Amino acid sequence: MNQHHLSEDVLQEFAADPVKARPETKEHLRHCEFCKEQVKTYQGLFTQISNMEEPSFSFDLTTEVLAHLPSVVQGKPIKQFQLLPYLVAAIIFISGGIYFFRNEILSLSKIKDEMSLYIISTCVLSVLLFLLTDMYKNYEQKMKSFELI
Amino acid sequence: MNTNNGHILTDKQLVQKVLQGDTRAFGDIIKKTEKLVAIIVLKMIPDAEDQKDIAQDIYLRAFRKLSGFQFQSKLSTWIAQISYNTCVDHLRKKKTVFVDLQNSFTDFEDDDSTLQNYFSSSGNMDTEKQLILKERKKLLQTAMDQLPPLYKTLISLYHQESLSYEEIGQVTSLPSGTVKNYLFRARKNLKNSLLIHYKKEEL
Repeated sequence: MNQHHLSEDVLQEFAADPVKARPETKEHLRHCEFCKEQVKTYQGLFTQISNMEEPSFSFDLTTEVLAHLPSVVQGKPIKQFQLLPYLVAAIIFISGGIYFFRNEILSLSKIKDEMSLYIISTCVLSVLLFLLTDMYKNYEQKMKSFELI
Repeated sequence: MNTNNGHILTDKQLVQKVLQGDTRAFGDIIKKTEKLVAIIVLKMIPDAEDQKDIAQDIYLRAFRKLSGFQFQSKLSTWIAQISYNTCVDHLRKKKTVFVDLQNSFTDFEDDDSTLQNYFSSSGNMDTEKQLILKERKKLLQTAMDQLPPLYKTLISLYHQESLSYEEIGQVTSLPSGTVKNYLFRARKNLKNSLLIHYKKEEL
């Protein structure tokens, strides 16, 4: 291209957005018929592109997607609902255990040996803590895998 | 459409509703962003069956990740970003070249006046002119279809969806300068394709 003419990218930029053009570009276009014609060519091309039929899906996307959502969305209330029987079962199981072993539990208070009491309570608390930590880790892993899908 | 006392809900309100379990709100998000997603999917993916699967996959992904959306960009830009990444993943799996960096152009530097006539003679809308216009639309569509997927997408996002270079950069994770450069190549390629056709027509 003639070095006195504007480069192709400057011409395109001007055709796309004349307001942002540099003053030198505007000045050049005021006098140069060749560049003016090229700008008009690009403007014609851009007008045709923007007037082209907008792409659209040939199917109802909303219906298609929503049909696959309920299993995920309704998951929360179902989970909460499913917790209730487990909670009731746990309460019955624990209170049943306490009732059947009430004599043994009461005898714990009679242990005069502080060392034994300390060992028993430490073991129970450690196991409980380990189980809770493990459950929480499992829960976090499952939540992460849901997010990654 | 989901409304709040007659007012159309904002992106934030829609997202909150979806997170509270309102699927209709997600339907509204789909309706709001479908056009943008269609541009990306239909320009990037050639196979019609794949287009349907990918479009669904995009929204299912968006739905699962919605709780992590921090509103650092527009919701539509975020969904467009998911669309673009999903399409690129698909093309990579199929080993399809989605941007042709080696593409060389045949220059027609002194012949732009011919193409200028080609674009300018669409003033009067009588039957003959309308036919010519229809034919030109078809030609432009053919020329667009011949571009690599990324170029087609960039052209449509910029000229049809009026997205800025920065917004396109956010969607495609490309620097604005690269977006500008690709758009420049794509437009030049398009112009040259039309020139080649115009020259053939003249002969």
